[in-house]
Amino acid sequence: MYSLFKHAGTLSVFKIRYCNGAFETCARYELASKGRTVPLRLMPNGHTLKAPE
Amino acid sequence: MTYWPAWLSGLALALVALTHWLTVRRMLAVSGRFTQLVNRLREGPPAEGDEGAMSEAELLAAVQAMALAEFGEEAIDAATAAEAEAEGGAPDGHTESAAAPFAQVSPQPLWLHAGFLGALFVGGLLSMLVAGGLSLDWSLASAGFTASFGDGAVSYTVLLLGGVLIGWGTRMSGGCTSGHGLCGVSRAQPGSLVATCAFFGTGIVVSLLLEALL
Repeated sequence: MYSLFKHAGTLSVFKIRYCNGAFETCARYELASKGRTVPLRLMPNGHTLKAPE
Repeated sequence: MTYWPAWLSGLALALVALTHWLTVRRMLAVSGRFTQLVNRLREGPPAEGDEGAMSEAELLAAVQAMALAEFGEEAIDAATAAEAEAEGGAPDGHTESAAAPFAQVSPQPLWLHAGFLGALFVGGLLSMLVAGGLSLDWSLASAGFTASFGDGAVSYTVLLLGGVLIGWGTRMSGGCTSGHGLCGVSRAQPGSLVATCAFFGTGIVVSLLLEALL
């Protein structure tokens, strides 16, 4: 997921707010730090990206 | 037992790491695969929706919509401008092509993790056959180890404790010798350089200490 955020553009706001900012609140970081599998589409805010219906 | 020459082993390891990257598009990581295998067995398959098909455009649109809903347009514009300035280019507005590297990464099936770990065992057997034949060795370790710790309960305890410490250190540092030592160092990753210096350095120091003390 980080590869999606590290590019300049609208998505960099996630990197600035979470990866470089309050990383301890990142849902992905929380799971990873507990040794759990991080779902591919889990966003830092805890929501999961869904395919359009 | 006759070991391969060090230079040949190094070349073989490099070939394995390169082949892994070229075929699977992921860095070689033994402990990472083991972790994935254990997690999949413990947690079951990924939740519904995690593996649903999404095109790159759909993925990008979904993330953009989420960013807009959470941060607002003003914060996004500020972040875009700051990011562009940090990279030395002009703000590029809302155009990006970030989905490509992400789209290449998808969950791997359980059999692939198990197959990789099984191949490590098969590879060891093959190298023994190539080196002159298969011979099982039931001794605990080298002569030096036996001279230091004997071959009784103490030696088993030392080996068990060593294994636990290796596993703990691997989890703490986020990788093992293959991930940090082979792939991380070759890519000059700072964390991997520190980790490799730490575990190899500690190994050398402890070996010298044991040799001097025991």
